[in-house]
Amino acid sequence: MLSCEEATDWELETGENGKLVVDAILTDEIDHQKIRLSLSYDELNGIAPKVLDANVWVEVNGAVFPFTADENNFGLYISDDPFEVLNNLNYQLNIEWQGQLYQADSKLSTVFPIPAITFEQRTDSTLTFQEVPFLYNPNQQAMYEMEIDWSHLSNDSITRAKIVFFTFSTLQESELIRPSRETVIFPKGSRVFLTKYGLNEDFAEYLRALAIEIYWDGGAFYSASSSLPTNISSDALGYFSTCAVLRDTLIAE
Amino acid sequence: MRKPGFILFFLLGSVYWAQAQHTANITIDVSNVPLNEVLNEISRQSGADFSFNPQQIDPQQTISYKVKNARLERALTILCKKINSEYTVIEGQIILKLIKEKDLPLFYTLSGFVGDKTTGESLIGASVSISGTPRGVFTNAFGYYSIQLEAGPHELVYSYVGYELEREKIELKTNVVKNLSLKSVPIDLPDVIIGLSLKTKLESRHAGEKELKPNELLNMPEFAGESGLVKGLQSLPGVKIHSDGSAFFYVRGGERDQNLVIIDDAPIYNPSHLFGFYSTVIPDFAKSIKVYKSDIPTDLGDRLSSIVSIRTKDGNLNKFEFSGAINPLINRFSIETPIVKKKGSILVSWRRSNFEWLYRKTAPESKIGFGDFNFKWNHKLNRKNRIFFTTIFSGDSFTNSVNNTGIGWANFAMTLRWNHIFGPKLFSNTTIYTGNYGYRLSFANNIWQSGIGTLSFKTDFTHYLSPQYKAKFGLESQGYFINPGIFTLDPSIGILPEINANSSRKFTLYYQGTYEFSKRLKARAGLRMVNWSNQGPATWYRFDENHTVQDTVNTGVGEYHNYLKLDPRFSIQYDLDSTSQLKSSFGWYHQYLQLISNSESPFTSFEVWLPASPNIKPQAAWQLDLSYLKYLTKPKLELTAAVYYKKYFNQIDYRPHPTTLLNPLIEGELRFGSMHSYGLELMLKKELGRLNGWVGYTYSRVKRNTPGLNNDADYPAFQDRPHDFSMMLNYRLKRRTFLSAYLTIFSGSTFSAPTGFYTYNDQTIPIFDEKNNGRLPSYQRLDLAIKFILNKNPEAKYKHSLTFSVYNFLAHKNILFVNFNKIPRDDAKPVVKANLFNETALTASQTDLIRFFPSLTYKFKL
Repeated sequence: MLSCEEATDWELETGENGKLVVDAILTDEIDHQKIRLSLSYDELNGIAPKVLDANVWVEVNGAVFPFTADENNFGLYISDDPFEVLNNLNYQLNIEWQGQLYQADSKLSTVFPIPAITFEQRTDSTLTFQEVPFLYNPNQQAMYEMEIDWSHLSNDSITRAKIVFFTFSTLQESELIRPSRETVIFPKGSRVFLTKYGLNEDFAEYLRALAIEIYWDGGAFYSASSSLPTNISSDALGYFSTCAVLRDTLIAE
Repeated sequence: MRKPGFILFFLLGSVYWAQAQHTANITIDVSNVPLNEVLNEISRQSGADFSFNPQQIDPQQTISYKVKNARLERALTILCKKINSEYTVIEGQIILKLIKEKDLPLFYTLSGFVGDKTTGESLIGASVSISGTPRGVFTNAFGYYSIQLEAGPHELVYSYVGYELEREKIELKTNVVKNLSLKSVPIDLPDVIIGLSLKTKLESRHAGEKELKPNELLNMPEFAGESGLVKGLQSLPGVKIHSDGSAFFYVRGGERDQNLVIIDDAPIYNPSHLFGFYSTVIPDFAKSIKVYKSDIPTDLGDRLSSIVSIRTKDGNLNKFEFSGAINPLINRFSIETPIVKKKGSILVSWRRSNFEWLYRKTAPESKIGFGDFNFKWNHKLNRKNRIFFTTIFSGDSFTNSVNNTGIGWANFAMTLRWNHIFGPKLFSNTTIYTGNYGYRLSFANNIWQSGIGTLSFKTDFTHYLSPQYKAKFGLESQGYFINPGIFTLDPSIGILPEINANSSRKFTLYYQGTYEFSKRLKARAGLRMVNWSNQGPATWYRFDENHTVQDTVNTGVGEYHNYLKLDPRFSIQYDLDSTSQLKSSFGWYHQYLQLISNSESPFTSFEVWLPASPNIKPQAAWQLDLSYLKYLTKPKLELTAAVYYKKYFNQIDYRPHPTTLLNPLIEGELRFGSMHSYGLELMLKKELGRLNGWVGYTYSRVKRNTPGLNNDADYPAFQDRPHDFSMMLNYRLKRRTFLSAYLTIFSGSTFSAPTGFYTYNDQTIPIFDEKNNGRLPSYQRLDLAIKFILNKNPEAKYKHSLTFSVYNFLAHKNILFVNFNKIPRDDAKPVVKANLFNETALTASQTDLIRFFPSLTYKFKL
């Protein structure tokens, strides 16, 4: 009788899609850095068209790091040489595509140690993860990527999971009373690969908007929707950031 | 011609006066001619002679005079009115004599209270009229009336809807105090209820004001035991609810925080229970509910859209009364009893939810409930003094005892009032009141609390200056104390920023005069002057044009900023004939308190109120409206039509994804723009009869414009819903069986729908173009109720009834919101995608709240 939510077909008006989307996080680890380029699309479950023919390079302090499209992974651009993002330098991303130059700047953030990660045991002895303790920290904003693999323990069709969660220095109504979220269940002994990205203010602002729109929207206390901000010029979408990262591998117990 | 002491007798004919009086008919049509020409012409046509003193009556004064085929007597009466004279006939000669000041009729004041004969309850808006004349007055909010009448005999007619009409003959030789009690007809018999005369009805209506009678509210089909204030308001043209389960409402396009609900003058900041399913107003406690949508009287304010003024019952002055209602979900009880018979009484109401049993199986850890306690005491000290004391407490609590998570809020209001009659022409009402609201949210060891409190002193006077002129004036001094939100956080998580409480003062002077230019034309004009000041010590921030902090200002004790605003208001009312009326009003309004929330949720959430301050200018609006009222006598229908245009300034908007919670720099998240709304409201009402009710339709639009948002273009507001139709019908099926039906259909709310998507780090991100470019499906709801009066004898001492209601009988899915970030599940609600490797496709999902909700309520009165 009360509060029914159900899947529905909803006709959406489409806008001017086909805009360049930048998905780029450079890290302070010496590695071949990666940038993903795609286009925006009309449908909710549409496939993002890949951008294959862009010229991509990063400039810093007079040095240029060119990126080359990965022929095995369309839309992915990998730096020709490994490099690390250094502190206090301004990194400028340049993308030349279809006669248009797209640019964005970023400075390295700092990252604080990874706090203790614990898993919640369910009645059937499987595990799940609650990110509530990570929601708020006034001094260190962060994004966590947690990849969980239990392929060595199970032959089920789904044996991997990727969970993204955040720590912000602000609180939102919709964050505190969030909508029901898919429960990711995995067995004890699963391998957990955790990456923590330190966030500067601007990137945190982008990710906070992202969380509002896709993780916290749909609960009882929802707010007016808006497009996410971007730091890419020329009406492109997405974000370019440089993050200090920490990684950890653990066995879920 | 004119010399002192000189008396000139005009002799224009004398012989056939008596005969002429009966036989001659006069026809004259002249403009701006000397009086003596008119007299000559009358003499010529009638043969009558005139004599008068030219020192008193100037024969050269110019007059316009028109009579057609009139008898001499009638012609002379009209002439004498024009030259302020009277005539006498002595021996066939017409002698004109100037009416001196002392000859003018003497006026005396008739005043008093009108009340209910059985309970002693004062009646608000009862009519006191003079039989055979269009003159009359209405009792004020305390049942008091005052009217000036010529000395001599009069027949008074006292009337009030639902009461037997009373006639009283009086001989006015001096000022008279006349208290009168009317006898109510048995309840629940709308076909025998006494209606008001058309003239009285016309007089009683004020532009922009709608009265929602508690009985009308009680007759509406219920949701889980009660009709609810907001549901009742929603049935009025121009008022729109947010959605099911919401206490938010929008009036003529205004925002939800631009309405003020006051109970006996004290503000109720959150008039809802259970997130809006119930109202904090206990139906049995209310005597009158008035909604002001325009032409808001200058003694009320300061909100841009509406004032909902609720007057509570005084309590039975004559006998003990016990009443109540029992429903599986909610119970309420009231006791009224005289303390000193006919002088003082108390009224106690108590209400509590009892739906824990609903959750006992599914969520045994949940503790969900709400309650109210209302108390009123009144005492007539003597004929000129009466005091009232009202206390209202309401609270909600929704907690989960296992994880210590929950929400709670509470209202507390108290009013101490003194009515004093200085004289028959001057009535005063002095009030001290407080209104407080607190909100609390807890999860684990973390607690959020916010609150707002008001303390006020108001003294208000009504001056019945003359038969044509009534004035209302007064002053009010208020203090506001606002806690925008403090968070007590588990220290293991972090320390939250400290948000300082703030305080403000408001001082108001107001004056309003109502003048009757003629029997048909009446006008009202007034001015409200408000001085709003922010009080230190305080810390506030100065922002630059990019909304970043430029400066931090620490102020000492005392005023550090103020606004002085004048709100003029005018209205004019013209009776086209005895059955129709045209009204127009124009008014300026300011608002000094605002609810800061970017939430579009229908539910009461984190309530953060902010005062007007150096960074937040008072919101302002002007409104022009025109309304037409027509009584169709044959089918006994009342038709009202109104058009309005409203322009709003300093309207609060938000940057995309603002942080409104626990943000010391919250003012930097705000954007300011304008808004305009316009509409047409139609209502056809049948008040009495076996079948009664009303049908309403509203066409309205409301657009916003905020520089820096939506590419600076206009966009429809959330509450922009062009079409709104509602119908309320009551039908007496049998003598003791009543059916009622309420149907409402209105356009869906706007929302920002994505116009595309992109992929970022395996996540699907929506893209939004124009703000509020989407619209939810239309809202439709049919509520039905059947009520059985269980007494065979309508005069029985113990009265009881049984009501069966169904809310949303057609089980229409009224969509609250649509999301695009969830994945479907078999036999379960969609959920937000968490595993980014999960290849299940996202789906649009929609949420509706109540599809079909039956309820059974037993009501009794002893």
